[in-house]
Amino acid sequence: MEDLLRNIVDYGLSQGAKYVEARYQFLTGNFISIKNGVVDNVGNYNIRGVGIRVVFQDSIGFSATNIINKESLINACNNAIKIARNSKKRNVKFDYWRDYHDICIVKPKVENRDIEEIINEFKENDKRIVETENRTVFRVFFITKQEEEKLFVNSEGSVIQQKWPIISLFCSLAAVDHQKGFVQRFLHDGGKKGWEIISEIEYEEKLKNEAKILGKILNEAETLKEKGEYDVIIDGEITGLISHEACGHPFEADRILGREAAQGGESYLNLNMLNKEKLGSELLNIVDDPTIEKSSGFYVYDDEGIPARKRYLIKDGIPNEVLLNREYAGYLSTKSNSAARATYYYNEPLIRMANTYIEPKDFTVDEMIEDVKRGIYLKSYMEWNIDDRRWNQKYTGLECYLIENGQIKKMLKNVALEITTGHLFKNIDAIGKDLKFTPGNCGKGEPMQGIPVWFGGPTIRVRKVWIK
Amino acid sequence: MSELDKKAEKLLLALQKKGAEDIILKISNVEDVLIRYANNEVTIPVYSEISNIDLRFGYKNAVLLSTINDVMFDVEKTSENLIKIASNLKEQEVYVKIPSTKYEYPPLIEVDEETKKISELLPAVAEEVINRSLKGRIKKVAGTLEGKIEKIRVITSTGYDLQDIRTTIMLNHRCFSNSTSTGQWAYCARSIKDLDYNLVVEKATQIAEININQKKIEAGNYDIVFSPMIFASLMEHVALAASAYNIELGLSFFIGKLNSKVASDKLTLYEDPHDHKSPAYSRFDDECIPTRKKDVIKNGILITYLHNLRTAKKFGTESTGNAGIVFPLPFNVYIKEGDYKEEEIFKEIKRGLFLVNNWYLRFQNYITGDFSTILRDGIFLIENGEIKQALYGGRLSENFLNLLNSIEGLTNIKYPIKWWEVNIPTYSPYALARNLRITTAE
Repeated sequence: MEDLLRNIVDYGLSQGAKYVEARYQFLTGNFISIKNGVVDNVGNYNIRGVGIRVVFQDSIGFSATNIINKESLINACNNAIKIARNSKKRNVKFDYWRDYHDICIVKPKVENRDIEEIINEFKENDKRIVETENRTVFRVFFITKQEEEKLFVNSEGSVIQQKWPIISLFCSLAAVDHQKGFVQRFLHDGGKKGWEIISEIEYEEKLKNEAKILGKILNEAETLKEKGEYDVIIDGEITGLISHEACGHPFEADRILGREAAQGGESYLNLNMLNKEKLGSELLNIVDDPTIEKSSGFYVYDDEGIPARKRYLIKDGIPNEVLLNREYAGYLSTKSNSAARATYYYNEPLIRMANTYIEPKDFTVDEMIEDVKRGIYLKSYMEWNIDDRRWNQKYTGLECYLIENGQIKKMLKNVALEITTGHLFKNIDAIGKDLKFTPGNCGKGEPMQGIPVWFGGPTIRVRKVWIK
Repeated sequence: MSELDKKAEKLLLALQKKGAEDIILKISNVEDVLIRYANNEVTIPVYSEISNIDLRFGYKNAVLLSTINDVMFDVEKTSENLIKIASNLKEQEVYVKIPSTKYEYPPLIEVDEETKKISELLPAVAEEVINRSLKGRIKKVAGTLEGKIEKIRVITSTGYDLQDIRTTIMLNHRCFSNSTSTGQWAYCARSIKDLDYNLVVEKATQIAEININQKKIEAGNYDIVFSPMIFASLMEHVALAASAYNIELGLSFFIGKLNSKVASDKLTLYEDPHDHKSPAYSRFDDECIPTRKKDVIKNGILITYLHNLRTAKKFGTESTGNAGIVFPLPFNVYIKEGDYKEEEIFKEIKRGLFLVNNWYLRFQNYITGDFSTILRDGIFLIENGEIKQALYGGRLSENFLNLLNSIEGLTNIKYPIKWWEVNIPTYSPYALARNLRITTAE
């Protein structure tokens, strides 16, 4: 394969391309869905092909094929060049690097498990949920195990092989009480690891706990009577999502500079704000880090062949750096910080987050609650959304509580935190030490490229928030 | 016949020989040209030719699914591996046989000569769309123009060997008169000849031109005129809620609502896979059942869920011809037009809003239908039937059943919409609805 890719890169150069890269991907996956304790679907898939990107006469062209032989790859390379040539000329300035030669393999602790054994385990999980809360009438598990292998070759001379497992456990639960209503919960766990994840996260206990909480919400949760200003304590499940949506996305250089304007939108951030304008409390540091081993967003080299590194997006409340690929680093006359990824071989690499999180500090949750006179504690969420400049956002709480005079008083339902990024970041006055990560599938681009990431955050406290 | 077709036939025989039954193989060959543009220039053109096999079969009444994108696969090894996995499965709760009935199908429509030339024609169309938009206040445009030719063949162990061609041309175009003053429109067609890009340019530029000097929206309940962009997004969710699979999963606000009134009597929502101009024109579904035009909601009554063979058996009815390999889905969505002309529908509002577009529609609860969605590309205050003021910062925070029942009128022309937020081609007019909740960040 390496020779085939090297040859096609050489061929692209011989046809006048200034830069050529060839990305081979072989992805295999198995999935099982179990609905209310009964196997619903079982299947497998494989995806295998080559994407070729060229810089030709200062325009970019991209082409892909899944027929992997010399003739087909030459055809794909010609198509990439042809389509770049047919486009109106641009003045693309790529950021060029030295060559890298590396093989990076993530080995799972538990690689293979018998399909029947997995099915039986999840059927047992289903039983435990019902035993814990028998009003949980809709229960769906979707379990996916993938192996991904990538080979990257470019005209700088790099040859990089990366290989890892990817696991994803998705669970949807809905509890129904004909007097008290409906409550729904979606859980997602995963990473670039093997089946060891189930014991690492104590999955059975986690599911039982979630079922218990659903029952508690049905039995006890009340509507918030008094709308108004509250101090809000927000759990890491939600602060992780906030770090991704309200910081990670708006810090993507392609979004800031308008390339994603038609779909994903633009950004509240402009490049003049970097290292100058205060965006949040000085306690606030937000990081995007692809080097966290076994995380969903882990990689050693990005899909443009550049070594991965940790990025401080916000440091002491001030925007510090934005996420870059070769094209935007070249445009800004700087170096890429290795944020380019493509979901499949037939997708162009885009600027993507990896694992985005708020850095933990030293508070405990109890210490945060103690110092709240009138507040809300949001532990999990049902619904969220954010505008296309990443400023106006909403998180509707699932498990949430009223705090009065430093103590949790009662459970609440349907509490909506609808807030701007500026208000949220600037009014943080305490950050916990309880950093936790949740996996997600981040969407971007046209066609939509879903890519595995982790969202991370500790519990935080935000003063003076309007709650309705 | 391509190499992949020959391999697919061999795979079918190999699986049959090893005891598999009710085998369906769907072979797709897709040629795709995508032109992305931003900041008034093409950012990247993408060309791909990808083949795929989607496969489903039964083995001792258990069912296995597979997608093979690795076209270099070894037939014997693949069939052995699939049977090995299937032999570890228990029988499915509801197992259905694939029929062998000889059905009449609608005709195969070939790709027209112009659409065949998408890789040559689309870059020039994109340039024209960009250039025509840059006038008046419009400073910047961004968008995507895509052409896709999908050749499909379905073969089964019960003797079907069917072919279809599905072509999609779609344009999504966003105009900026400044960084927050935007207008957006989208369009889809089966043939490049039917792509009305002038309409897209006109709509997107008109909205961006007036979406200036915005004031912050006030939270509250409003009467609303929905543009076809946002109404298509909402109605796509309504059609998906009618999939019997979502009913089974508890991901629908139509659970237990069959034959009940779920919407205002003004609303009729139907599917028409036989529309020759739709990218969703389809002769048969993935189980080889002929597709058919059908009302899903008629005058406010939920007439049917969308079924494949399995969900139909489970629900005690017949397939509606909506099978994918895994679950039933609508091919396309149509909202029956009303009587209003576009300029008339605004006159029905004394004080309310005109909403152009949305994104991030998220459910708080699928069963109750509580949701919210961010408004974008134009929120306008209407007073005494006239657009008075551009606004920003709004979110439609509603319940789907409430929204469906609040529909009071529809205009007399439908627009074909497909883009990021509307995956299924949806044909929507403007719609008038009363007393819906808008929220905003304080």
